[in-house]
Amino acid sequence: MSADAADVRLAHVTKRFGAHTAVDDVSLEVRPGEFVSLLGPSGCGKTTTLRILAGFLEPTAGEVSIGGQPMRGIPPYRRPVNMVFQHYALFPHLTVADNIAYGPRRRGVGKAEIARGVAESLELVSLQGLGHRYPRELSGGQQQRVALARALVNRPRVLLLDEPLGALDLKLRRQMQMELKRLQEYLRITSIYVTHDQEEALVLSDRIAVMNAGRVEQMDAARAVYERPATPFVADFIGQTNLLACTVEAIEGPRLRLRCGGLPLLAALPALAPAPGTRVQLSLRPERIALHAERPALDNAFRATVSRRVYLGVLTNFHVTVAAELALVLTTSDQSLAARIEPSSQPWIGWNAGEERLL
Amino acid sequence: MSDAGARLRVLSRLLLPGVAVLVLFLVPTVASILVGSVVEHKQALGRPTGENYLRFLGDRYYLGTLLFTLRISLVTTLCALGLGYLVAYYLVRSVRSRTVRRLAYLVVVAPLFTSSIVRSFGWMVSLGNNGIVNRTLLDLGVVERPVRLIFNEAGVVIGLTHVLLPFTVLTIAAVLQQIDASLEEAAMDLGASRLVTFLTVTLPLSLPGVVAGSLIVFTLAMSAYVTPAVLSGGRLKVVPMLIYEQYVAVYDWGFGGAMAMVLLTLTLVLTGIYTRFLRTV
Repeated sequence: MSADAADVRLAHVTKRFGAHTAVDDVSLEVRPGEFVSLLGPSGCGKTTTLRILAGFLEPTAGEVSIGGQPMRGIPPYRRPVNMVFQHYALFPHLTVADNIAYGPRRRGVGKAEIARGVAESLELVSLQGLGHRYPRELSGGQQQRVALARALVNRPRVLLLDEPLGALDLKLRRQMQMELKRLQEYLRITSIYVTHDQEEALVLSDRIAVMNAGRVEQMDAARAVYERPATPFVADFIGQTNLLACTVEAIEGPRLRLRCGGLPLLAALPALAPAPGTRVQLSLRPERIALHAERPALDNAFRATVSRRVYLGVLTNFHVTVAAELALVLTTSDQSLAARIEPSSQPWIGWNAGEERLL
Repeated sequence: MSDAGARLRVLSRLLLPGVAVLVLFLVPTVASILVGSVVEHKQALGRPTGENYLRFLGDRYYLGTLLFTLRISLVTTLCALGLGYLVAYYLVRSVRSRTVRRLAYLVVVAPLFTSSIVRSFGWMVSLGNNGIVNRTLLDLGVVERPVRLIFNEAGVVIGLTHVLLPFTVLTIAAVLQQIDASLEEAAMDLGASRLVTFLTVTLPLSLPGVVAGSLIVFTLAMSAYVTPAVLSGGRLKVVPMLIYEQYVAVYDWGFGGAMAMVLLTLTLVLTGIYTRFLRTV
């Protein structure tokens, strides 16, 4: 990708606070119109990265450029970005309309144009007719929309969003996710979204950068991050997974014979075959393990003991142990089967080689 | 809402002791002063009269003193506000160390712990022709001969500002502390420079502190007695000094009472207009 093709480029960006390194050598590029999430647990450096982009923090090392322009030394008020803050940060002393007009006024936009922009933005977030209200007179969801309108009215080159839905309840959150996605696709605005909610990142993003301890562990499309996690951290953080420590025993044709916690397993042979004796980590998603009443004809089949059954509505989770030493979690959507398998019963579980991922 | 109703009930219960003390001690005294100022004192049960008020408001000397008191109070309020805002802003935004901030607050409120006589004499020593202020100005070559800072209006304003500064610093700092830092970031993110951010976000949001602080300073300045008396060296008169004279030296309690009532009414009316005005802004 050439420098011009990227709207946002971070090159070896590091931010230290005293002895603590919040962002550690992060390099990434965001293409025009792309929706990228920075996903990770709290303290992983995602918000610090966003604040560096907004200009509230200067990186200790590395370069940031936005729209091809280097950003070092450029204050927040001269950057072509706008931010939606975690707790909205609406000006309580200004009406909704004045909140939205705040950006255009600073740029010296004419009165008539401001009025038009405000009306358009209010319509964009379906808040027509609420311009004269004060933020405190609005619900959380409405305040969220105002914050979004206040940023969008400036038509920023890049929209920065800092966990903007974090304060909303689940139902409203789902609804706002869809609305945000619709808006972003409609406006084709380059967006960087910080969240610790993996589901939200999967729903919204074109690509996800999974961050941990100040580093980007993997940056890829949502599907790839889920199905082909690059590191144990990513496999564990995105969705649920069973991480097993295994040793390679032998290569048997297109398969790999492993020993995981005393259990012999068959796995698909990866492109880069590990030598026998190598220690590998195996990630196995709960939904990839099937439950059976009889012994199934699968590459890996074991008799398991159910230690706990957790009913989740659409799904049921089973916590099982195999051969008294290996604890696994598996998921089924077959609720009639799940209802028949009682805790401490001994069903069969199994999966074919290739359902797992070697890390 | 029942929630708001419950809050109100709790609040009114909490306020009750304070209100009771005020009613018990303030109402009878103010009432007796008021009554004393509108009746004749020649016989036991005097007839109502407006004589005391006409005498005060019809005399150029007394009116001039009233205006002078008002002017000194306004100037003191402005000085305490400007200085207090700077100190409060610095303490809240620039001082990172908690210990330093606590020490600074202690220094700010220190004048309230000192007797006003000691404090005023301290200023007399510092502001005199050979005091530390004039010596510094002379040694630095800023002035060629000592500036008169004492026994005049400047001295009174300096002394009053000093003792009343804690009220503006504390009220403004309390409000500044409450302002969410992300609001200022949002302003800058939307294209406002630091100065514009201050003028459009920080300052308007800190107005409640400014109002509270200036009201306290203004009312206290209007009724200040010791500081103006000492720092003006008796050369200037403010209304509280006139009242004191009437009560203690002349024994004309009716006239003293009338002056006190005029001062009280003027202060109340001005603060009322001020708060009403700011509410509409």
